[in-house]
Amino acid sequence: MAWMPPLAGSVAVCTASAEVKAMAARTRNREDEAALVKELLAGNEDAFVTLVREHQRLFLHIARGLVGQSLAEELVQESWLAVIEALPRFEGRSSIRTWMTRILVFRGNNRRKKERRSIPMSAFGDGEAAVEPERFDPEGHWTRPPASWGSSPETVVMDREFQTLLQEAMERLPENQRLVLQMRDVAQLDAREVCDALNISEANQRVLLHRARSKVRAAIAAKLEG
Amino acid sequence: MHSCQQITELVTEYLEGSMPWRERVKFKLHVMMCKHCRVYLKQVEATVAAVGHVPELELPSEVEQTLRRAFRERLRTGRDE
Repeated sequence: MAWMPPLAGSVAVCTASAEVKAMAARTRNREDEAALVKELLAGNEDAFVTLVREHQRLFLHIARGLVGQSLAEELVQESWLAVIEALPRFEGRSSIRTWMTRILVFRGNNRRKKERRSIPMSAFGDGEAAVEPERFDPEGHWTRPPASWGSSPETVVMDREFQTLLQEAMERLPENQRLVLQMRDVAQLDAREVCDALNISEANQRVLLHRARSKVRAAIAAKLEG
Repeated sequence: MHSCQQITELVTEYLEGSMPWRERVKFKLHVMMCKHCRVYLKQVEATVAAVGHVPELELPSEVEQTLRRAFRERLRTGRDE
């Protein structure tokens, strides 16, 4: 590869993990979040229902991953009631989404202990490549490099058109990869919490997250390179 | 020095911040010098950001009514606390 002078984008490279966190959190900016919390604590029922509608899908998925399909709805309903009960004590130290997810995960784990559900070791099984090996030469250099998603890839994939694609790509993921992706990148729980909740090592958690992200990225790339 | 293929497998570890310092520097150097891997990294970051947007779901009416009722009761009594 020829040396290229660093582009403006390389600043993002140097602070990548902070940048990723900031980008992921942009689902609701600080002012919107503060305004929402204010409404909720003032007893604005419609604000609460919007919150439920926004998170129902995510929570059902996580619940399914924790306690299985048949118990998921019950767990989620219980968790919403627990959220309502705890809401006056919400201190805003994390986003409300993360706070609510923790409530769900806590209750889900109590059930898991009773039912003894755990992630089988086979879930971490044989290697799945992040990118099809045919796209590299024997030395590992790109022969078919990723096509650009435009000058602002973030904006492109936030498009409504991609929402369906993303949801479908996530549905196709093996269950445990989807679960980790949702807990980390949708709900923004941190790695430690996910490891504790699912009783897996950090290395295993990272493998699942890596595969999930790679697959979803590949699905977007397939559509854009289409 | 990492190959591009290795970079695509190391992306998550890099973004997690769990790489030892030396490895991190090697990774960053590669990405600074390789346009394709820079593009790839940006795409992974964009994917992570996009995944965070979840579409709303309509609730079954009884579910919504139950939650509305519970919310009303709690936030009313909550204010009296």
